[in-house]
Amino acid sequence: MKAYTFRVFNKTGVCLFNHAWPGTAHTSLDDDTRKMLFGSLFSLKQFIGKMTPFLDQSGDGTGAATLGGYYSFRTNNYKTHVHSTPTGLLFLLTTEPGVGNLQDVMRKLQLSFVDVTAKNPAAGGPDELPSEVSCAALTKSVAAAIEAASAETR
Amino acid sequence: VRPRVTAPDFPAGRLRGSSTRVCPRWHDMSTAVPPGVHSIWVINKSGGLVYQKSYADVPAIDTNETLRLASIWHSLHAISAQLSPVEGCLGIELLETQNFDLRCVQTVTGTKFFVTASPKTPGLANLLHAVYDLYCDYVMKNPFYELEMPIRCELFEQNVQYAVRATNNAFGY
Repeated sequence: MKAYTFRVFNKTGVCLFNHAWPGTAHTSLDDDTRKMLFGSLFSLKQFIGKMTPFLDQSGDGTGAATLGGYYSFRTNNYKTHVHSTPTGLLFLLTTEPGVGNLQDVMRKLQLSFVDVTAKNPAAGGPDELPSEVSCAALTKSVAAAIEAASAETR
Repeated sequence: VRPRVTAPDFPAGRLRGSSTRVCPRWHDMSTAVPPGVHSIWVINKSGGLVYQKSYADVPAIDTNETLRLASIWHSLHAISAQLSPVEGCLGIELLETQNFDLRCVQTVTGTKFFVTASPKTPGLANLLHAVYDLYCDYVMKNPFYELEMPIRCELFEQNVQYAVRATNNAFGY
């Protein structure tokens, strides 16, 4: 399973973590692209909320309850997996189009991120970027998680 | 003597709580998703909605809302191609969420056909290609149809209904 990028956004659109595997065309995230990406995901979430084929019982109109935290969309040459948390954190993983449901992998990635940020007493608040050491550790665990997932599916 | 009124007979499967999608349990009634195809939407090349019809028991969406959703989809489709991590992306083909799937096909002229259905419904790509063929025959070849305007062609609507029914029947919905 070939992965392209893994990104973490907080609820205001700040990119907290960005990792790109070799083979990706645009590895860094410039400001306009970041805003376009976050905005499109925000619109997509609202779109899903409105298109969901049963009445939204949660009452807040954002469709948060209907999302179930994970959804994915596929194009002809890549697939994006989106995992969101109730605190507004957004985990994005882009892979090759042939992969299936990566809900468990996304959950593992979320747990790695939580280990590095929430469980880290030296880390800043939810809006601060993780330190360099944390980023390096997170990169390693992310790469390992994806490797493990590829090994399983092979 | 008046006959005793009894509760309707439920087949045993329902009471034992089989899969939520086909036989919802009573407390899941509010979150039941109708099986099969839900609705078909056609968007013109500028992002305007030209056709939208529901084929299942889904909550109705207000007309203005459908116009808004169609243009949102049009932009999302274009942005997904721009934000692709690799070159040569043509836009979103499949959106899988917890409660519905959305399959989209874009023609070379920029017209988009998309269908929403319950998760894992098979045959959606074929359905969309069939709808595209019907669009070519009953809309494009209709001399009274104004290009890019909402579709009001009875034969198109009828035949799309048959195609949806055939898709549902082919897979036992």
